[in-house]
Amino acid sequence: MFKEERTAPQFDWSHLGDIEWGRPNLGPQTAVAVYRLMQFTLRDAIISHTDVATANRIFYDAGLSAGKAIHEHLLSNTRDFDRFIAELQETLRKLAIGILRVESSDMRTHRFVLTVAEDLDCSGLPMSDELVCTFDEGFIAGLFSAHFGKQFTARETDCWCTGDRVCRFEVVLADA
Amino acid sequence: MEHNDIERLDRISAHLHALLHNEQPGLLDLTGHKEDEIRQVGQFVNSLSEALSALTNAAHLLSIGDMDVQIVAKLPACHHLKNLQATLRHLTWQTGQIAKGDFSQRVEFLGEFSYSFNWMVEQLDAYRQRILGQNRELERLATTDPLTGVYNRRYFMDFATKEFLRSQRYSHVFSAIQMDIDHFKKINDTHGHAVGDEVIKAFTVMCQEVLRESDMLGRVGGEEFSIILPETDRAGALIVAERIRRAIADLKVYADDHVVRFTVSIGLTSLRQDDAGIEAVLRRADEALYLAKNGGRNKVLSG
Repeated sequence: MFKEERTAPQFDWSHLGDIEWGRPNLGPQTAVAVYRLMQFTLRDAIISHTDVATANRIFYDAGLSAGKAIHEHLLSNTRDFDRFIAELQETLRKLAIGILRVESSDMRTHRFVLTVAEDLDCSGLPMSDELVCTFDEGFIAGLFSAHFGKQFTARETDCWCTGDRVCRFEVVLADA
Repeated sequence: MEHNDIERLDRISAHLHALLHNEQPGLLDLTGHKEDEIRQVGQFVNSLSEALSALTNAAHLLSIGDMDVQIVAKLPACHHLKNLQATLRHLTWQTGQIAKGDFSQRVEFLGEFSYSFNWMVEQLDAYRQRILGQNRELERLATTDPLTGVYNRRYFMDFATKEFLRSQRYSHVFSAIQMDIDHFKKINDTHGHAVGDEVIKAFTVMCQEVLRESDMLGRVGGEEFSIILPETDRAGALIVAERIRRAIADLKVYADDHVVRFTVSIGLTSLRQDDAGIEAVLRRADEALYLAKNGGRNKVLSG
């Protein structure tokens, strides 16, 4: 299940387990620092063993799976874009992932610009002039791909680490 | 301190003074100075000067509504400006959403403006709901009979015409029923108009119990009613009409210490290929109703 060799993603929501049953005293929450500890030590190890491009690809693809899984399990299957955004905003806030806002949406060209404030991945990190929210890029692409039933890509254009107070993402159709 | 150093510090001081007074001091000329410390201070002043100039330009453009301005300076104030820019962009998108009818949008993080904006959206939504409610009520009043709540003649005729055209286009069948409460004038004369109204109401309630959701009942005159039965042939219409006739014959309307009983005469017909319009169908049903009336009332006849 977890350690089988594979060439394509096999993640399933059931892999998250029964948290309520498994953590009757500690509950389902943990600290943001713990999430970041995992994220950045993992990135560190991957880069050490491979390279930055590989690490980015891995984080993006993992985000893609996570976005699709969240869409399938936590959002309704609404076809209405405004409803989708409203549900996504509420879910991201409830899970303390970030505060999602839409700057522009063009349903004709399928180009969207979103921002995430108080981002789980990066808000408060040291300034480094790097766009570090690679997992978020994949995550957002996964959500949009699942909503529209078409492949989308997401690219971060502003990040806390480049001096912004919100992370900004451009989301477009993969073949655009 | 040597005279040259004092002169350089004077120039830096004048430069900073110009910056503070919103003037454009240009860049300090650093050539010819050998002392690292003085040159470094000069470089810092130049960097600050450039950053402040970029910040001023960005703040100006943002203040006149240019939300696409590129804010590139690294001063901490720029971060707040970019945050404001993101908020304004989102606010612009939200305003468009509200214009499209999404009244769930709420503004956050803008203090008193958020409160006022959100209050405005709530008021707009409440106003819109009131208008929609009033429109629904106006539509109801325009299409229904106030006594019974069933559709009035005008709406019934619209529906009947559409059903005629639909059935003709798709070669489907429908039936029309015309009904008239027997001796209604006598009920009014004997028991008064209030009791007459109760009879009319009881009649429509009973009809609605017999009819399907898809059937259309209309009050087309004082004690005259019409029904359109979509997708129903003559045999089916006869069964429905007979059910209504029997139900009405068994109906008792209690008024004061009286029990009022009454009957209904019914004429019906179904769509024929040579019918030129809904009027031809209803006329045939009317003729059947006339025969039922003249044939002793409390009858169902088809034409």
